[in-house]
Order: sequence, then C-alpha cells, then structure tokens
Amino acid sequence: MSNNKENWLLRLVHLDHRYYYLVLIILLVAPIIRPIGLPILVSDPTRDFYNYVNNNIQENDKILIWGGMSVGFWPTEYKPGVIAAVQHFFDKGAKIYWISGTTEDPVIYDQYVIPEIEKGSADYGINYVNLGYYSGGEMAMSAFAKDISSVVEQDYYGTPIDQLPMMGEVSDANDFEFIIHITGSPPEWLLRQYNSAYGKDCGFISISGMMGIYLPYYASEQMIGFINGLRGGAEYETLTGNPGIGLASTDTVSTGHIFFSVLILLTNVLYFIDRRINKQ
Amino acid sequence: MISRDIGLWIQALLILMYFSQLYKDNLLYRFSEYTLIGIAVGHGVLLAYQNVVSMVYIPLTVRGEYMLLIPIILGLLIWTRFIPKYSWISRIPMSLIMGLSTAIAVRGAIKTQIYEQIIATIRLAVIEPSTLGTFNNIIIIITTICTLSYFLFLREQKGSLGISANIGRLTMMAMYGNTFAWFYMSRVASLLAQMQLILIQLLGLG
Repeated sequence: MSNNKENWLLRLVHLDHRYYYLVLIILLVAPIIRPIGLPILVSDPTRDFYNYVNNNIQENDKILIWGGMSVGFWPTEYKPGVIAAVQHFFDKGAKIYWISGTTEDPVIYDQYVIPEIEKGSADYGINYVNLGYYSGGEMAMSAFAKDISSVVEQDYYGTPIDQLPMMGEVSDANDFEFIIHITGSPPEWLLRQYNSAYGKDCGFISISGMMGIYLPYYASEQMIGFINGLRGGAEYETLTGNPGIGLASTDTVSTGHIFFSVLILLTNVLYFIDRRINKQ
Repeated sequence: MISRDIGLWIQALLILMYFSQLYKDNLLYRFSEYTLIGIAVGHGVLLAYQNVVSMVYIPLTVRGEYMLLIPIILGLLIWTRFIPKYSWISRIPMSLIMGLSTAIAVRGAIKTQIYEQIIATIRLAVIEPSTLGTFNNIIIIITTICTLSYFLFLREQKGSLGISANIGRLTMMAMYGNTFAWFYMSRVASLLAQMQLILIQLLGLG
C-alpha cells in the first residue's frame, strides 16, 4: 500500500497496539466505578441446568462434582457460576461429593467456595465433603465411577473415608443423581465415563472459551445444560434471584465486547479497502 | 476505603508487574511470571507427594498391599529417560499408560462423539414452531452435509462437490472464529478480575 493512499482509517491498522490496550482498560474500569446496568438474557444451556436442579434434585440426593478449576480463571470465569450453583445445591438439601482433577481445585473449594456458601444446618462429612486431588484424568474418573473405594482412601484433610458418614452411602457412579464437571477443557471425559457408560445426567460449569465446543453435546442432549463462564454465572444468579459478582461484572464485560466487536468490524472493512487499493 | 491487607497489596503489585509486559518486556514482568510458575509447581509437587504417601506408601507399608509394587516399579522406570543409555526402558510404562488411556476413552468415544452426534442431526426436525428455529435447523442440516463433503476425497472437489466443500470450509472457518471470540471473552473476564481486585478490593472504588 502506498503512503499517499493511506487515509485516517487505514492508519488505525498500523496504530501501536498499546493504545488499544489503553482504551480497553479504560472501558473495563469505567463501568466498575460507575455501573451502567446493561440487560442480560438467560441462555438455554443455563436455564436447562437451573430447571433440572430445581425440578429434579430432592433433599439428600447425591451430586458428584469433578472439580477442574485453576486459580487464574477462578475470580471471574468460575466463581459466579460455581458459587450460584453450589448454593442452589445446598438450598435444595442435596449432598455434595467434591473430588478434584487439578491440583489447585481442592484449595479453591476449601478456601473460596465453602466459606462463601450459606450452608444452613449442613455439616461436613454428612452433607458435603472435599475428597481432594487425584491425578490420572479420565482414568481416575473411570476408576472412581466403577469403585469409589479403589480411588479414594481419605478426604482432603486426611480423614479416612470410613469416618465420613456420607461416604458410606455411595459405592459407584450409580449412586449419584447428578454429575457435574467444572472444567476449562472439552466435556468428553465426563460424558464418556458417566453419561455413556452409566447413563447418568451430566452438567458442566466451564469457561467462556468452551461455548462452541460444548454446544454440539448440549444439542444432542448428552448433557443437561452448562453454565458458561462469567456470563453463565450471571445468568444463573438471575435465575436464583441472588445477585453476585457475575451480575456485577456484566457491564464491564459488555463494554469490552462492544469495543472489540467494533474493532473486528473495522478491521474487516479495512482489509477489503486495503485489498481494493492494492488491486488498483 | 483503601485496604490494609498486605496480601492484597502483594497480589496487586504482582498483577501490575505482570501487566507491565503490555508496554514492553521487562524484569518486573519476568519476576511475577516466574513467581507464579514457581508457586504452581511447588504446590503441584506437594500434592503429588501426598498422593503417593496416601495411595501407595501407607497401603504398602502399613497394610502390606504388595501388588502396589508393580505400579511403583513402572513409575520408577519412567525416570530412566534421564539416563541416555537406558532411556528406552521408559517407553514401557509410557506405552502402558497410553494404551490404558486409549482403551478407557474408546469405550465411550464412539457413542459420545460419533453415534449420538449423528442421531441428533438425523432427528433434527426441519419445521419448528418458530421461524427462527426452522431457519436454524435448515442451516445446521446444510452446513453439516457441506462440512462432511469437504472431507470426501473419493473424487476431485469440482462442480457441485466443489461448491459444497467450499461451503463446508467456510462453515468451519466460522466455527473457529466463534471459538476464538469465546476465548477472547474468557480472557477479558480474567482481565476484569484483576481490575476489580485493584479498584474495588484494594482502593475501595466502585
């Protein structure tokens, strides 16, 4: 492209990328200080997840959660959905069996999830348990589904499982009503080992990036639903009527997205203008 | 009100040091990055050690479960890869792990990733109560067939097959674009968390 043909629009292409970061940070910071209150629509995967828990989970039903959270994604991607959903499980009186597939996950559950939940009369070892981290990925999932005692000897705090009353109520995957995977990875592990092998109802709490990968499994009804990142968390908070960090953050994310949508449109227009100029 | 939590200040400082890379690469950025990696590795090693103690050492020494000697030996053999002369031995336990993983995955893969997907597409009703639903289903059926045709190499992709394959290629590009957009959304949310920590928790704004 010759210099004399460059106009102000095309100069944007060559603008130092640091200016874009600066604008993005301003757009993210402004709504934190002064919220706008942009509306939020509840998507079908979140609504189905919520409806399933609301209509199907009864008191003392057992929910198995395979936690695969990482610290980096915890504050915004996992936290809104995990807190809203786990609170919902506690409100329904379900028993929560939490086992971790990543090293950070049991710590997050212990220090950030449980302290934020209003547990009512629920007691550790009777209504909820932290089984700690187990390596092996899909192999560990498979072994746990087949025979829990073959994988788990003690909980996260070192208590033998025979001293935890709720552990005496489960022996394999068939004893759980609902299985959930909290993960930033594709859903195949859980679906293969619990839905396909045992016909169990499965749900997911994932990061936003997984949306496109999860949808085919949701459309084929292999999963009940899924809570997708910050947006999904905000939707779940809307459904449960307990506004939290998810709803508080949606303004900021929306302004950031509008900015990038404009940039994507602009870049595409500029690409075609640039190509036309080059052809001439 | 500005926070007096020293942990929060250290956290905010490390975040700002990390973000300084947006301006240009520097020592502060590298310090914060290596700190993060160091902590993550240290924590991971500790948990792995605890796993070995609770799942292997105690059952072996206290309960006398000597069958566990087999996985212990196989596990130790992986370390031979650090001795060039005997590194080939590490392939034995690695191939066992790979074989087991594949066997466990394959059991459900055909049903989960192939059969159920095909059934879901076949059962798709073309006509739905809403116009948008009908339009959406028609799009799904057309793009599925076109995308499959892209991978049809029985004859040269010319004529109607060429048009179909081209639509399939565009469909896949649209899917990748969509995935990229969602990943971008994920990263913006992560950035937002750091902003909230500094502005709300640390400085008491908002």
